[in-house]
Amino acid sequence: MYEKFRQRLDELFENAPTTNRSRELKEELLANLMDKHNDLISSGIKEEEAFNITISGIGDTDELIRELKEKNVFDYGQSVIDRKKSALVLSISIGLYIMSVVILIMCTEVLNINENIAVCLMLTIDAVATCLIIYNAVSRPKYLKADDTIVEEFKEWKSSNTTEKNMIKSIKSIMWLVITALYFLLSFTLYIWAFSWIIFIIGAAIDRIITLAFQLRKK
Amino acid sequence: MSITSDIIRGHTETIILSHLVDNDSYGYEINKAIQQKTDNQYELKEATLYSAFRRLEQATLITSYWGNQTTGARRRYYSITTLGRSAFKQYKVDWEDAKQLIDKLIYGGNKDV
Repeated sequence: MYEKFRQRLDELFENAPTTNRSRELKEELLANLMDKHNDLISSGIKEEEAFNITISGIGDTDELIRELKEKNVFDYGQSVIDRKKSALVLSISIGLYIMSVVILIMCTEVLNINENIAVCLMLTIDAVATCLIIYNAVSRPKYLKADDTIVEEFKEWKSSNTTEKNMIKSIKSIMWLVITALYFLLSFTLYIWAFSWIIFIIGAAIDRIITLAFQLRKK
Repeated sequence: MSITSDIIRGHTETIILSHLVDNDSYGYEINKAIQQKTDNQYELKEATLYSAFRRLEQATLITSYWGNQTTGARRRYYSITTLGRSAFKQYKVDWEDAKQLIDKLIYGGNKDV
């Protein structure tokens, strides 16, 4: 009897989109129809008749199917504003990176400020720029499911995946920045040019470790 | 009966809310309660009932969760939200107003006619 009801429901919802929502609605209906059917049988009605009464009690499913077809339109206006804001923040941070190098050259060559102080100044500006990029990547609104279809689930999964990728990228860029700064700082102050390049190999190792850490966390 | 069912259908949402005020319930239980309360005179069509559920859910007047039946299909239970409770209160006030207005309009202020 369960199978018979399921087949009938599949026929009734033939025109409905194959989304999670329609699957859930069918499951919900099925449970309730079975309850009704069992009640009718225990009140002394024959199985065949009970089936017909139950099915005819469903009524017009057109409205239900129409509702299942409705989709929440993705808010286009808001996404344009978000994109503009994110582009602005990104340009500012890239500008800061370039500025930091200019300031470094200015400080050392024109103003004759101590090299260490100049490098520290550059690093501080770079840190601000990197923070802006991270903030931008993390605060971007997650792609909200417009509908429960598999396509939407895939989009959501992909979107969350790229946010994570952006985060890894930002972390790695900070790390490489620090390593480059350390390289110059150590080499200039201690005059160990012959060995200081090793720091880049260490950097490569740290790079892999960061990737690995994120992959492990995902599992 | 046709006027009666038209009027009742217009209040499907309110009827569902009134059934959920005391405890959570599922589709068939609500429909059965409607049948019993009206002495088998009225029963909602499943299609009407479930599209009302969807509308109420979208308006966040009710929320739903799956029951944990082990055999057969799972039941979906509905429970009323705080917003739903206040909406129900308002519906009752509106209904009282409408009842009085329609009485006045039909009987012209004289109930004995």
